[in-house]
Amino acid sequence: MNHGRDRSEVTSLDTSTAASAGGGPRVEVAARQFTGDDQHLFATLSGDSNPMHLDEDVARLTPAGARAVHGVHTVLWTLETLAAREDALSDLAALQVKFSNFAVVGQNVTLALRNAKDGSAKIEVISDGLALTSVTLKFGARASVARPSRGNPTPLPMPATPLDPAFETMRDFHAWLQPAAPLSAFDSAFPLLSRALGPERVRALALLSSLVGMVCPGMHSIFSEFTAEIMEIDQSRPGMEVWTRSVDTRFRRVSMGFAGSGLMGEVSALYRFPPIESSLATISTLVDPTEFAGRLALVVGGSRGLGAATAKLIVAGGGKAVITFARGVRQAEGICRELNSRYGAGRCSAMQFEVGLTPEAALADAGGPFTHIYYFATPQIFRPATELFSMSDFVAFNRVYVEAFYNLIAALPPLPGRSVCYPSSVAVEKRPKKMTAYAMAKAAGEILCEDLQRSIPGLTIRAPRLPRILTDQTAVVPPVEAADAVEVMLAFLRAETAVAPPAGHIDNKEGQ
Amino acid sequence: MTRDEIKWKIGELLADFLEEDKIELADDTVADDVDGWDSITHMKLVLAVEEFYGIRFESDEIAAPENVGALADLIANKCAEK
Repeated sequence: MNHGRDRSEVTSLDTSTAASAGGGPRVEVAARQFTGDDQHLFATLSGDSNPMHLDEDVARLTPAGARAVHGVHTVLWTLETLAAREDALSDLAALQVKFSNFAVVGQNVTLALRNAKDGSAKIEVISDGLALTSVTLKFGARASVARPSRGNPTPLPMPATPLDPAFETMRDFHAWLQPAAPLSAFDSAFPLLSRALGPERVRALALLSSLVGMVCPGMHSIFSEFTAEIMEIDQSRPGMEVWTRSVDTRFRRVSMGFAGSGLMGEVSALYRFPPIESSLATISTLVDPTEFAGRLALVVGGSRGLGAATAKLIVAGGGKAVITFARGVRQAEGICRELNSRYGAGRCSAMQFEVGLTPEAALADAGGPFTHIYYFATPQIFRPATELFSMSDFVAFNRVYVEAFYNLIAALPPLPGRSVCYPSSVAVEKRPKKMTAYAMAKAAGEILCEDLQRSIPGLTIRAPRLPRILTDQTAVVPPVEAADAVEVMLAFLRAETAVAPPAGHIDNKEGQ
Repeated sequence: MTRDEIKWKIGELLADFLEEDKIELADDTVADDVDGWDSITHMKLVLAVEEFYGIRFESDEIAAPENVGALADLIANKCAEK
């Protein structure tokens, strides 16, 4: 073992297998996709069966937008790949890991080595040039003294379903977390890494995923980063002591310490918002039971977010709604059940409608004629990006905000006095960084609205530039100020009733 | 501690988080001007500034500063209040 060895060997280019990054600092050495089977395997190994990793319906409502690959799984893939290089991890002393963006199931990801400095090596899991996970390895003498235990932690077997502790109770968390799978499972899944570091440490790394995803913060968690020092392994007690170091309600952040099974370090996790739902109990107190009577609304994208809030407001106000969904059948049917139970059968129905497909057939069975159309269909808005503008993102936004909207309006049987809501965005004026494609598509949609209204007699289209609204898509952590969906849409619905704009007029004042 | 010293410290902390050798900040520098200065980086910067100066920001103060100059002023004011 040569402790003085130049760590840049870890990042050295193997010209037979690696693709040079055009002379740039990253050297790609491996690539893969994580599959659904991979998710279940890692969930079994680690005990982290948080549905954001396994259930597509649940994952849609998280910031990842799809089943998120366990961050720690990407770390173990990284280390397993490195362990194939002789002695690459032999004097590993510590690692520092940051989870910057989600990797999702089916996404192409690449392992890239970066230039080492200060005796360390940096490896990134990247996709389309964007870093998802970064692992910094430090080499040298390992810590010889373990931190003293903080008392007698309560044994905590791996829960079968994620816990959902209240934020306030996280401050006092202190336990001995027990592993979910035997060591032999790690010898099998990560053979090279287990030989290099010992299966106890590999299992301990996997256990960090469960600490965050199953225990604290648990159900509504995002693993942000961790550091781990390599220690002597205590064979007598599998698992690790875990404890809360700090809780910060401003950022919804929990910092925890851990020690055991040959590792000690710190974990930082965020407590994300639960799925955002507009409470019908609250809505019913805000709305006069007849103020929207006579409306038969088609709410495109009505299974969540602004669409769900709008449907609930209309029905609570005496109207009827047909809500459409692309994939959220459970959410859509749940909304209808709740509304029909409270306000009477037939007040709300749901239908599957994939924007982009020919709408005529769907509209024929939809139960119109609709007096009001609310178009909330949207692809994922916030997309990690490395460039100012992405043509593929622009195409995706246009497909929904322009093409599909046009096809729907053009396919509707004419009805004089019909009112259409096309939610534009303040992003058209304010142009937040890396949202150029989104702002351009919304601006194009506004122009389309003006021209549609000019060409279709009796049609009124309002395209309010809405502010950032708290929805599953926008409920990021640390939290960013956002308006309330019910408040914003109630104001709009009432403006629809109160104001009949002259022909050819498009309303696109902010927030109206 | 001068305003320039505070700005220098902010730059030093950012450079550490973003793994850069050095980050130069002007009074009118905003987060969008610095690659990687996203919400997570800003959270870490706030926490590090609080620890270094022994101060604490209220929730509404965290996002309030419109640029580095305003952040430096806020830090200076909070240090003076201690």
